[in-house]
Amino acid sequence: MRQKTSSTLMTMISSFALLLLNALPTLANDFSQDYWTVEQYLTEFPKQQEKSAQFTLTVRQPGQVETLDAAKKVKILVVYPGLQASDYWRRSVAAFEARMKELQISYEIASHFTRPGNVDLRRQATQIRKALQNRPDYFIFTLDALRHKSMIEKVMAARETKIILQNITTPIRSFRSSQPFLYVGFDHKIGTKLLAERYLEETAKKANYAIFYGTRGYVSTLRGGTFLDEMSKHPGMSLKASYYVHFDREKSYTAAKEVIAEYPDLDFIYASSTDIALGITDAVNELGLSGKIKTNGWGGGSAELDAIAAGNIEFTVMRMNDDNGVAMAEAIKLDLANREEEVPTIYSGDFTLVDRHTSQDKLKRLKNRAFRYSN
Amino acid sequence: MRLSRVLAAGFFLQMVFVVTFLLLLSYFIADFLVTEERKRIAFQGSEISNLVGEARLKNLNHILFVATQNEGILTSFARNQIGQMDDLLNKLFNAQSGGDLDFLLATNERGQIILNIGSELQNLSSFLSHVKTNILNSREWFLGEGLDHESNKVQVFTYLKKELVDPRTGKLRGFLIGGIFLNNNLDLATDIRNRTGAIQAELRWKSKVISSSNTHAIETDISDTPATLQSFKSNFLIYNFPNQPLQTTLFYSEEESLSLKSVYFFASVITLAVIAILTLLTIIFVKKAFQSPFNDLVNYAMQVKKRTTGAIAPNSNIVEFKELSNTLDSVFNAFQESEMRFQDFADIASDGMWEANTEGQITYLSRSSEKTNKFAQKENYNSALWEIPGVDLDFSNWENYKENYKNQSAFRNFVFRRAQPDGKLLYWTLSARPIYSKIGNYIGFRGTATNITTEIEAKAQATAADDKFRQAQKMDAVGQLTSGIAHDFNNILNIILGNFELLETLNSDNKVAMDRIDAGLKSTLRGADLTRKLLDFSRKDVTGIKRISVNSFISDMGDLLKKSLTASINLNFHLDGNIWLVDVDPGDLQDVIINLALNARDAMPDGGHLMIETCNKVLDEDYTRRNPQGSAGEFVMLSVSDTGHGMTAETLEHASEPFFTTKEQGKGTGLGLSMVYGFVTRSHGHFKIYSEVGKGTTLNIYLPRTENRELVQETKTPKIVKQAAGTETILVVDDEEDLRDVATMYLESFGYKTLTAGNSAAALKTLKENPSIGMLFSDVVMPGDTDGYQLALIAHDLYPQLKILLTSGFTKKRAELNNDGNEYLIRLNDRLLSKPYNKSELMSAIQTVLLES
Repeated sequence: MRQKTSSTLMTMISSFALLLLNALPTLANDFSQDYWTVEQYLTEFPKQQEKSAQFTLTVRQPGQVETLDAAKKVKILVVYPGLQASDYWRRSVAAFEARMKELQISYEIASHFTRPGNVDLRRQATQIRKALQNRPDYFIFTLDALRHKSMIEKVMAARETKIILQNITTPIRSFRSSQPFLYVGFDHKIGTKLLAERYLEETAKKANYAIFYGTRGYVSTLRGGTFLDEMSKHPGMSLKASYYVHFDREKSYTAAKEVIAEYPDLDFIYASSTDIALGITDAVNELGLSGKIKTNGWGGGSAELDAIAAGNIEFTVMRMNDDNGVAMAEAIKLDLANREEEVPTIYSGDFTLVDRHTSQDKLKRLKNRAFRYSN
Repeated sequence: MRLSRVLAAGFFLQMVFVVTFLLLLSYFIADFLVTEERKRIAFQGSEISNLVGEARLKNLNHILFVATQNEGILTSFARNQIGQMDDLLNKLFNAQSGGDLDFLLATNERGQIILNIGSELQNLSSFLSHVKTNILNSREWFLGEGLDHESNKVQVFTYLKKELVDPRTGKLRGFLIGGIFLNNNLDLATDIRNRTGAIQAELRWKSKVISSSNTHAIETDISDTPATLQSFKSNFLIYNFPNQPLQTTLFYSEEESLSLKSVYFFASVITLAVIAILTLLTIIFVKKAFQSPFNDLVNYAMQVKKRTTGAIAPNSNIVEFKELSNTLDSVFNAFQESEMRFQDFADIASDGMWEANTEGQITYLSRSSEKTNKFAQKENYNSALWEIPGVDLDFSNWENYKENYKNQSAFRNFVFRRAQPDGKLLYWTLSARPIYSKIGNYIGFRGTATNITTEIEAKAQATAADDKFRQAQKMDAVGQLTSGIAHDFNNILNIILGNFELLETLNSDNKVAMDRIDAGLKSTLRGADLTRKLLDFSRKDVTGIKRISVNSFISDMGDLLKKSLTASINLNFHLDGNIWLVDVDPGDLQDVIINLALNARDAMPDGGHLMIETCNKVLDEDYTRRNPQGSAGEFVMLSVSDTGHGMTAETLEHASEPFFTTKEQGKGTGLGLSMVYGFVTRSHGHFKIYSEVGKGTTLNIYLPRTENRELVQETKTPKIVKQAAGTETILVVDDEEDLRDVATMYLESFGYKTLTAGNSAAALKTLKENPSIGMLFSDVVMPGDTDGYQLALIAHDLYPQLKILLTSGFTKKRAELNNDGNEYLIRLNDRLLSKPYNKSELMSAIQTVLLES
């Protein structure tokens, strides 16, 4: 009975999160009007630079146990837009909990994953509201639509629950100095620029390409828009087509077949996510164009690394994945130790470009670091 | 200047200052608040303007969003059904409420314009050119300018780009672009003006007005709005298009600012008037409440300062003044009491009190200093002590005194003396310590002055008396010594004399022997004379006292004196006519005069003047202070002066001592002045020697005037009884056997029978055993417990008829007996036979006693 209820709740929440993501385009505007980029924020708030540097060192190092009130059990509510091919979210949870245990922080966690599908949005909202009524100490959430802003504001205004926003490193301008406890993730722009540079390098800045966006919104703007801007700087880079495939492997597969059929001279298709990349790979392999039409991964999860090893994907930007969960755990530790002021507003994890030429040793080292807790 | 005016002026100035300060402060605060309000208005205006602008953009966004979600539009676009799409977009464009959309474009995915729907009035050429340039980047919103070639004017516009995505495949098919022109956008400017409450609103692009709620002011650098309006500039659509030269200018009335200045101007005038009135009231109030009692206090203080007797402290209804008055009264009374107490002490104190500045100049003298003791007077103010007339600068160590001032060293008992106008010397001792101001600056000395003249004089007298006593003791000791020696010599001389006289009897036929015996006798007599002089020095008994006129006595000695002097010495007499009588031993006096004359002669070997003067002298206490050896009273002064070689001070000091002589060996005995001393002492007088080496010597003898002023007639000396053969038995008692033999020989030569005894006990025994003894002839000084006097007393008691004659070469016993008062012994003393005696003297004395009844 309990299992059924939990499953229903998860379905509702994930549907709600997807809805939020999908709803993003309704409010879409120029990115810079609503968000600070990491660089802009650190420039606007220079003290954050030192905090961020120190915090990054803390994340990279093994956990240092802090003397805390052992009797107090920290209540944490996590909502992940999970069930994607990317294991980013799963690993993030695993790394977070492992680091919490290493830090000997007593906690109880309520995790909710979402998945695409038609759900009752009102029920989803009700379930989140009920979960928040348990007054968790920390609410780990993600934000892909400005509409979430009002909900986050309300939670912050209650002052009982601290907000950690995952997979977003661009503080919302309208929050100004009253930002959530932590923005944690990997800067989409940085990762995108690494990929753009590699494409420019591989194509000698002359190529026909297509862009596969996810859903129109925050992530697509940062990953796809940034890539488009980087390419537009070079006249030899010719955009042949753009598709919004909703981070969906099947839609990506279909769009890839279509675009390849329409533009046989296509050199590469830029993928905004792992699922999109795998969809493209499916189409390319099916059409027997493997190695001719290239694509990329985004995030460097296990699926992508396997695809690279199989020769289906040329390269990807590999996130030091577990840093995401570790950063959240460390931020909570500092907060519980009344060292909240040491927690930066943004934690942006490290990226490394990985391709088929990357040695196994290096890859192993990178994996060992990236998945040091989640493996 | 009156207190009330001072206070009023102070009050006025203070009020003006305070009020001015407050007015200025409040003005600046108000101005600050107004400025802040302006800023707030500017901020609000900016925010509202941006909200208005954003609302337009949202409307634009909403329209395009709806269009890009519209299934019909997307499908027709995906199927390239341009006519249908144009129809739909036209409907959309025309359905706007007005001002939301100035143009609407549709492009393919490469940015080629497929449809163009726009305002009738706007030329889209500049806009289209901008779209073609920017369509293929990731941005959605654009703000730009372009030149309208038809009007040759710059057009400013903003637009939104939305993707047209094939709903089936997700493929990007093209873009829908909608926007508005900001030039001549009266609707937007008016909306901003109305929303912000401004009088006028303008939109500016690169500082040029492109839209205005006032339709006349467009595309100019300078607005035609009145100068009286306050303008606020702010960036427009700053959150959408940061760092773009798009601005709004809002105009507000300046009435608030003007009214603020007016309010403060009138407030200042009214405040000044109020201050003036308050100042007048203050003058009246201060005069009544403060100045009057304050003046009373001042008057009271002035009275106290002048030491006005009976000054009454003022009363006041104001408690503080009353308390102040009472306090002042207490303080002044205490001060006056203290001052009076000090004055009384200073007046009563025998010590003078004084102050001097750092230079030692007197700045204060207590009345006792000034009146009683007069170590200084008021006219000596500003004079240092050592500058005061009459101060003996040689008497004290004034350099040390000055050094104290210089070193600021306290000192005690600095002694100095000052001659008073009458010449009298007064002695002072000063003690003082340095004084400093409240801030520690050295300002001089303060001290006391004590008149120690009496102590000084008493000390001098005591010293003189001590000297006199010491001298007397010395002379007494010398006298005892000489008398002892003389006694022994007398015994010896008596034996020699007796034996020479015996030899003379035995060798009357031998001329040679007689000559030798005669020479021996003369020498013996000279020795006897010498011992007599010695005895005269120490002798205290006065046996031959007579009342004489010194003048007559000296006149009688005139010839004798002349014979004593050499011819080269000129003798003069200056004898006072009414010379007082004196009681002296004439024989002694004669010896004294002759001795002095002989001394003068010896002092003038080459001749000179000898002057003998007499006069009456009344010596007072002052004289005795200076001459402590003397005493006050009436005296006859006998002065013997010569012009000889004089004496040194050392010689003078010892001149009176026996045997002291400056003469050559054999020329002087050294007993001359000793004899004078003895004579003067016995006569209760004194003498004083003035001598200067090379000039001469004067010796003044002061003999007390007799109390009985009648001259006693000279009684004739009883005739020596003719020597006849004696029959009585005489017991000769002497411890010296030789003397007993001499006496026995003398007595027996006159026919007397003699018995002898060596001491008193033997004498008494002999007396007892020989009742026939008619006379006892005994020495006074004998060994054992019983001397001659005691023997005489015992014998007299035992044998009242027994005649007794005593003999002695020592006069001390005689003096003691005289003082003892035993009449019998005094009578025995009167006829005591002095040693050495010759035979005739012995016989004369024996016969005299035997003849007494």
